[in-house]
Amino acid sequence: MKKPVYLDYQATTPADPRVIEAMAPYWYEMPGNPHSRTHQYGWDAEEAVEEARANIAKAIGADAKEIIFTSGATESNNMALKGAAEFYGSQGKHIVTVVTEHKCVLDSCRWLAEHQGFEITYLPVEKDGLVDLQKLEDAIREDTMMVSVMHANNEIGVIQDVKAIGAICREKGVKFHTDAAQSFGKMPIDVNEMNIDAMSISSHKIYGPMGVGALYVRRKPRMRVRPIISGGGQERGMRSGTLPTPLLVGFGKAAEIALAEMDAENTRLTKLRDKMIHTIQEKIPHVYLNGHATKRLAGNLNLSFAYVEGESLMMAIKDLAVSSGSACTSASLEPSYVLRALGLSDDMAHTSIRMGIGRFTTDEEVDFALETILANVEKLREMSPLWEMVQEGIDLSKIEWAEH
Amino acid sequence: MSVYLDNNGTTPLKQNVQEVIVQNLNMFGNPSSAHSEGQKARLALDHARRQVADTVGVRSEQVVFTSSGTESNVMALRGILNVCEHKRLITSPTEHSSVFNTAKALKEEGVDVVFLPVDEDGVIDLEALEVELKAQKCSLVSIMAANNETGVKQPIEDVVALCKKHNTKLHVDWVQLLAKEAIDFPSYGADSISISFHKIGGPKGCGALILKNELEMTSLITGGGQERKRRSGTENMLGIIASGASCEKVAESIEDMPRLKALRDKMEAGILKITPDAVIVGQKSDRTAVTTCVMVPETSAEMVLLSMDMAGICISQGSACSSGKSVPSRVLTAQGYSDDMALAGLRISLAWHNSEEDVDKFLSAYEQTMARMKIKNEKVS
Repeated sequence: MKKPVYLDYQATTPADPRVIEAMAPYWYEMPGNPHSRTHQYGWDAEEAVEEARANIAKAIGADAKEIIFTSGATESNNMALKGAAEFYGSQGKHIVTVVTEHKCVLDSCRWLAEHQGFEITYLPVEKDGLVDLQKLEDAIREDTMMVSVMHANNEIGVIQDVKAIGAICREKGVKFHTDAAQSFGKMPIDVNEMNIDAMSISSHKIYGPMGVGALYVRRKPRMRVRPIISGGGQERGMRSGTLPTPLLVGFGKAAEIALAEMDAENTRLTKLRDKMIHTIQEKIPHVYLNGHATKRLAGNLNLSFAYVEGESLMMAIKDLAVSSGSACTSASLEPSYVLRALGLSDDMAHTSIRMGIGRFTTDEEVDFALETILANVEKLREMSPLWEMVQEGIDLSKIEWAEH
Repeated sequence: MSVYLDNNGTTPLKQNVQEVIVQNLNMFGNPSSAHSEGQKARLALDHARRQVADTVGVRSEQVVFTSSGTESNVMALRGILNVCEHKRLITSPTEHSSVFNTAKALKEEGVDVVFLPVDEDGVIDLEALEVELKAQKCSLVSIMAANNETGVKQPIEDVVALCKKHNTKLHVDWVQLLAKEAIDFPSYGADSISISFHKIGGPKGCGALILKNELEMTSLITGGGQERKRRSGTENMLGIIASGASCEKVAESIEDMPRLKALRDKMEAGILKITPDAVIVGQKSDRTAVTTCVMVPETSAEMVLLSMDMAGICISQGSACSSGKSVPSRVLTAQGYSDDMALAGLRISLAWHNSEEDVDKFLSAYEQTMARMKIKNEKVS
């Protein structure tokens, strides 16, 4: 077993060996620019890219023409929001989104508010991380241009009911965008059944390479998006820049594998994840699961360990590669805004750990992770004065701490 | 194996870049993660950034990795104009489509955009630039260092001087000069330059914007705040590592230029011998050592390309980005060539992997192709 054990599958996933193999010929033999349609090298590259596009479309029940390749889900989210705002902004300058969205969605909304005069409604979430559908419906106004709600959350793995949200949006006649970076390839998605107008997807979260992603953009009824990267007019004029053929081939292969192995993988991961939750909660008290217990990604676990100092816990379990908060901000000590949105106190947010398991996580690794966590939490609590007080039956919330 | 002569479009990977890719295929950490797998990626990212920074003579923090030269150009144009009080852009009609089409979009959005006149080689009119700069406060000038279709270079030194004099920001699309000429960004005088790695034996999907430290601008892609908050999105690690590796060979590529220039000159002499009425664009101007843009009257570049491709020679017409459609090259028509002439425009571009044998093969295929075209033309008339 390799240490540290990698348990950060929501931050990024290792490329599948089959993905690496599929990319190999494109690193070695072909110099083609897929947009050079006048020579054989260019043709071969284009064919490979189109096959990848078809694989990705198939995984979500879309037409290949509805898939626009980008540099990643962050770009896709930027494009969906800013690009649609450019197009529909004259009809209405209101967007409904959720406080627990990925930073790039929140940031794009903030940008639109600052630069284009948009009004943004940030919906709260319930204690389990789910959006109240009635609140969502009530938030939609006459001038609402778009609703943007993520499918699965990157920190707490909670899965929103996008099918119901899609139905509400369709009925109200507003566009629906979903950030599916965490769910694409991990759960069944049908853009038609779910009435999704635009959807962001990522390659490196599904065992494909980093640096590529896609935006699904519906053709019927048509979703309009203005490009944010203009130029040579690649991707049907929607996104310019030379496409990285090998990376896209890898992305396509990753999507193909994900679709084929989704059920078996989810069954295995759910079992492992539940074993982790149950073992930890059985053996140590005051450990809280963040996010809904069942409406969550099979590979996501987010736990708060009360009466343990977060930093010390991270240091103590350094044989486990886990994260606190999302990867993009985990180098900072700010408590996670997603956990805060669930109503957690700063203290509890600080002691929370995200454990992501995935395709290459073994039973042995899970057992090791459990042992490591159980031993260290116990040890840290023994050293904690707070824990001692709790053991003595003192209600910590009633204590008035002196300022210093 | 075909002879690949479309290196201004894209290049094959250099040997050392392939090796680095293979070595790093299993490296997967997210550099924003605090754990060791993430930190391994962070170190590799820092190393690659250092390699790029050294190549252009800047400090690491002045390098912003993007997904392409196109993104770098769009980011510079929109980002710099966004923070300017006067929304005015001066550029040229022969710029790469990423600058040209973004300028057109900006114009639609209400930005005052000026396209400078150019001469028959595509060189901008410096007097016109000065007139425009004097006429009104301008916030940004964007000029390419060398043209992708013709290789013709712009008088950037003069542009720098004018921009300084009139206190205007300058962005230079430097994509076609990377690894062809050395650059020391701090003394170059531009506020930002774009570069792309798949033009120098690096991977596709990776570019960079090099900035003056103090340059104020907004981001194009916002989110997790990567790249010192200038460009969000999980980094294309394999691409970035490979891009860093491609920079290791820049000095070597620059030293190779005299050899390639000799090959190019031999090729052009051969072309003129086979088709004496051919026009080689920019032959009298300063241009890169590797590019030939040639127009043979009364031929169709599309037909020539197909015929050349069947003979195993990869060349292009116009720029690769628009080669799906048979429209005359915007660059050539801006330089005053007729639509018919522009539709005859071929681009042959060399790189390190090309040899004299490649040029000989090209010339022999060219001779056969042109003989066929001539017969066809005679039949038609």
